Amino acid sequence: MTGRFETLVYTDCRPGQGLRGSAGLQFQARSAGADIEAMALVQRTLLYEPPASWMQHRRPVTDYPPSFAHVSGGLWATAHGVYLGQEANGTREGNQLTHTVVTKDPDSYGLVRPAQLFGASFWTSQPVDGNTCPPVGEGWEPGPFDAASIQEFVRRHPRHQELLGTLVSTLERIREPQARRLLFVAEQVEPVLRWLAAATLLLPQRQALEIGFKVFTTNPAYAAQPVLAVHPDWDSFPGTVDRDLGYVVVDLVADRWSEVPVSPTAGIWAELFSVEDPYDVTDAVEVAAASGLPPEVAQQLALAAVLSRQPAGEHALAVVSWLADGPRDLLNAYGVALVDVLTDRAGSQPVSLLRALARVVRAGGRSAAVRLALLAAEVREAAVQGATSATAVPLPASGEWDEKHAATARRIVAEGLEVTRGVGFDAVLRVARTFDVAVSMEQNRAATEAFVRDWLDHPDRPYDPASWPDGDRFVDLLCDLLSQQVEREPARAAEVGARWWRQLLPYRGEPRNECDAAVLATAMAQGTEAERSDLVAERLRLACQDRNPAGGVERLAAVLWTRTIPTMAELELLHRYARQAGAYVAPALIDSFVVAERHAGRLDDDVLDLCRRFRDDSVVRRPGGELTRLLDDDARVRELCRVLGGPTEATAEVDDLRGVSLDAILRRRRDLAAALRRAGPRLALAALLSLPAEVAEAYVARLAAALRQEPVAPDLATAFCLREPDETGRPSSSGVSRALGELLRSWVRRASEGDLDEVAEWVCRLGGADRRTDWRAWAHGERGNRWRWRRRR
Amino acid sequence: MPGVACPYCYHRISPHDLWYRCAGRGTPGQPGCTPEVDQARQRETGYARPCLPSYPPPRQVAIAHARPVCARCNGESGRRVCPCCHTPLPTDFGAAASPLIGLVGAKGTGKTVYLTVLAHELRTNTRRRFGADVRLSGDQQGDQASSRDWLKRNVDTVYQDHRLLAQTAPAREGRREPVVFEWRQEYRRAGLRRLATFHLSFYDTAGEDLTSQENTFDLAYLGAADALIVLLDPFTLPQARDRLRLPGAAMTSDEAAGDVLNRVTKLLRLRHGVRGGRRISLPVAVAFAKIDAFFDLLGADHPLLRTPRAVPAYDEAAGQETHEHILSLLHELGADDVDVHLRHNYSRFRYFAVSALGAPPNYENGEVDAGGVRPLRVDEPLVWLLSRSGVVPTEGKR
Repeated sequence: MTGRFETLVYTDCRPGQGLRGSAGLQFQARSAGADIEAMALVQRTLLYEPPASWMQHRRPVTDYPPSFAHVSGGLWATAHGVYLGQEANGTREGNQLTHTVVTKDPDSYGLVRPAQLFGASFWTSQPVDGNTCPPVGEGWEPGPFDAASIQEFVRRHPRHQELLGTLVSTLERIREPQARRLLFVAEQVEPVLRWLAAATLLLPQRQALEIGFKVFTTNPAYAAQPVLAVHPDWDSFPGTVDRDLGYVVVDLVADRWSEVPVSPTAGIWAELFSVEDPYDVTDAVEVAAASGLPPEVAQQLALAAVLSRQPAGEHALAVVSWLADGPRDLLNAYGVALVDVLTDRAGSQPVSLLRALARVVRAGGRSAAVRLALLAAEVREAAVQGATSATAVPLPASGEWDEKHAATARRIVAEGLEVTRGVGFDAVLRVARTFDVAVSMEQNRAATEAFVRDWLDHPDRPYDPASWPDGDRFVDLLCDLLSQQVEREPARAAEVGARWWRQLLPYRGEPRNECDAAVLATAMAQGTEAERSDLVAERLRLACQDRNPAGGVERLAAVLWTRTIPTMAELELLHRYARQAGAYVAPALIDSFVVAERHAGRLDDDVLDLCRRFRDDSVVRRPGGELTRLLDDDARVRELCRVLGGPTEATAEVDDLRGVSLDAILRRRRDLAAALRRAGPRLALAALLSLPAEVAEAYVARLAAALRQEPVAPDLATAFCLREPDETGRPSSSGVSRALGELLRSWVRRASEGDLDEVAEWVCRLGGADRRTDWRAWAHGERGNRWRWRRRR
Repeated sequence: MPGVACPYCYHRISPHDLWYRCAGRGTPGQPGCTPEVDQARQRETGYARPCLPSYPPPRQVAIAHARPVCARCNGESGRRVCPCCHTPLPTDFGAAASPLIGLVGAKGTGKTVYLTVLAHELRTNTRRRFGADVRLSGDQQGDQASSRDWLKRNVDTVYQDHRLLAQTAPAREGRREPVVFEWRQEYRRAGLRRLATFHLSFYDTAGEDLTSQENTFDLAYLGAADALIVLLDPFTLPQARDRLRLPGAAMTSDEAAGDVLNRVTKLLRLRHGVRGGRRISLPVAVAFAKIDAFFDLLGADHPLLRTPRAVPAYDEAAGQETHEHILSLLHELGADDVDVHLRHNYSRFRYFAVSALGAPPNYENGEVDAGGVRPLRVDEPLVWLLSRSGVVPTEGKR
């Protein structure tokens, strides 16, 4: 819809005829809304320029072509000028009339390009009556240069695409700094304006509106407009196509023009304008401009939306993206058409495009087709490349995806699986999983078996059965084959386990065959501590949930530690779950643990407690030799300790420790030392003779502690006997001797003669009279040393 | 006013601070600059064609004939341009007086014909009279309408085709291309003979541009003028019209000469900052045009119609005599208001009588008299103005 224009008429006036009142060239009339600003703009840029040379030779007025000009800059004005010959109030040449339509609202032009105003019915070539001229009202009609007639005109030129491409390319950049101006050389105004109309029809209307032009000018160097036309007979321009003086020269007389790099978009618009419906092409130009996309993408978008042309590959993705975030009004107008175009040949579209399309098109009746096309493309690509980067695509809106579509999807995947092997098969499976398409192994039996056999031969392939539909079933097949191998060659179990445990472990629960056993055993043998711990805990828990939990736990326990020794934490778990399930653990498993702990020197109370629980809780039905011996030895030592503290002599029991393993005694040495202290000096000295030195040291440590706290005669006597044993006693270690010697020496130096005598009596009781003599000698010796020491001081 | 006015942008510039235009030749191994649209030139003069870039001289290059180097391409250039509008200026521009001379008058006064004939006289008779080398100067600035083309076409029209010229189109954005003459003459100073080059820039004005004060204020070049030649159209004087019995076609305007002068005066006062209590010092040559129409009225022996003595100087006595005769004629024709206005507003003005064609043309068909162009006293206003500037000597001072 076209809008209102104000108007201005400029011509030579008689006195009183013009707005200024005086004679001469001036605005003769204006419409009510045409202001001084508009007048200044017109006078500066749009007036008819009579050619001096023709005026000099007084050419007939009819020879002079009209002028047509347009300018923008806050105002938009288009002017039509004619030469009138002699001045209104005299005989001199140079009179002209310029009729201008001007507006502050670019919408007044509607979708009409300024060049199309040429020939419109509202132009006047004569002064109007009075000083007021009518405005051009809304709904005005442009001239005869409609898109169809312009197309016809353009087509008549033998190199129309080339010329039109040059013009559009030039005009696209004409407002850029340092852009070359466009200069036509023509004898008539019409061909210039037709070419200009054609070129501006291939630019967005708003952009075309900003491109000023002047046809004709007598001095291009000083013309304000970037597009100009000169008449070849007016000597207006000293240049030519070959010497363009900085212009892009289009000589319509010689039918030659400057060489200009034709932009890709301009070339396409020019081609389309001559072969397509020109109105569609101009619509496409507007859509492209409104899309907000870079020119080449915008053009592809518009061609798809308006002319139903498939977007070129490199831009199609951007076109699809535009569907997601383009301007709402354009999407409403062209979205459906665009989707139709893009999905029409979905089967031949690249995967990346279909992925984007599937994300965008989720309703509107084409979503299922897009999804299927994408699935087919993904399957094709996966089968060929042996890899896929397919990502999950949301299902179409409810009601658009039915069982028929699902069946088609299954068929696509099945066909894909049939034509590929190895990594391709894996990739297709992953695509199927991504698209949530079920795979029928029965339908693809041969292909599936071939794939599994291939997998068997290539254990290093990084397959992830979790990324396949029903991946467990493929793993089962593989494990069946592996089990057959192990059954045929049991020696290969370790090899099988080593190769496959990492891949298969997540899929193997209860060990059902040799393969599973090998996998689990290897996992325990080669996994990290954390992996082992998780594995044991998880698998035992699952085994307990089995219908036959006891059998499950026993089978699992029989497999897990075939290639490794259980840790204490693992046995704790095993004990817990076995007891819970009522399962029995093989004695050899516990024995191996006991032996390993013994070698590692870790047979402490916790281990004994655990082992005892295995036995006492009947988790081990018939304890093995190691377990039995461990627990029995410990029981004997503990019994001795108990007896030594009792009221009766226990020498016989001490003798009974013969045959008890050293580690069992040493494990309880502190208990033994404590018991000996309770038993008294006489029994302690006797028992220590047959116990390991480590027990004696533990005893001395306790004795020394007591002496430091409160030295009493029995303890002092015991200490003397231990430090200075007689020929029947066991020689004291240097540590014992030194510790006890210091304590005794210190006490003797401070002690009274009475105290010495009391100790002497205890020494006698413990070791006899000779030992008492030894004591006195030693004590006096030490005391003598004391006096010598005092005298020296 | 200090400095000289650029004939193209009318800014006052110092002749010592002119810029240079790159020659585009570059240096070995470095390509020269390429033409591009000079934004400053486009803004100041409207010239939009690509041209080579301009650059200021380095500070140390103040001596004549220096060839400063373009900062972009390192090429040398000696071509000087205006530092404001970057328009190329004639060689030696500013070395001596280079006045801008505005030509004003009401519509139909014959300004363009007068300027055409004056320019022709300058290159022929006036040049010979003063022994000066007078040439059109300056390059073609536009694609067309260069001063050379303009002058050639007008001279051909008037002198060869014997036709009157088309009306002059109003100025665009207050700008007009000047017609620049280079006047090279020998003179004596301190007993020595020297050569000096003067540049005379003439501006034709469309009568329409002076029909309102607003339009007049827009004429930037007029505000920058160093001197004015005001053409008075006797046909606009009612008493003259009555006595001359002119054909209707000769009356193209009823604009009074005094009105035009008044608007120009206001412009000059504004631009030169001259308050109401003072007079404008700008020399104004007021030429009573179309004096040939008064041949019958004044009589063939009237001093105004005699060809003046062709001496290589301005004849002050004869000039003063002409001034008095015109003053008398103005009073006689009831146009003494012009004289009053000039006396009250200008400290230096003088009257002249000129006839560009030498005989009344046929206004009906726009043709020059069959006897051809026979200019009368056409160069006198200019010679007087040049004597004021010291370009030509004065003799016979009273």
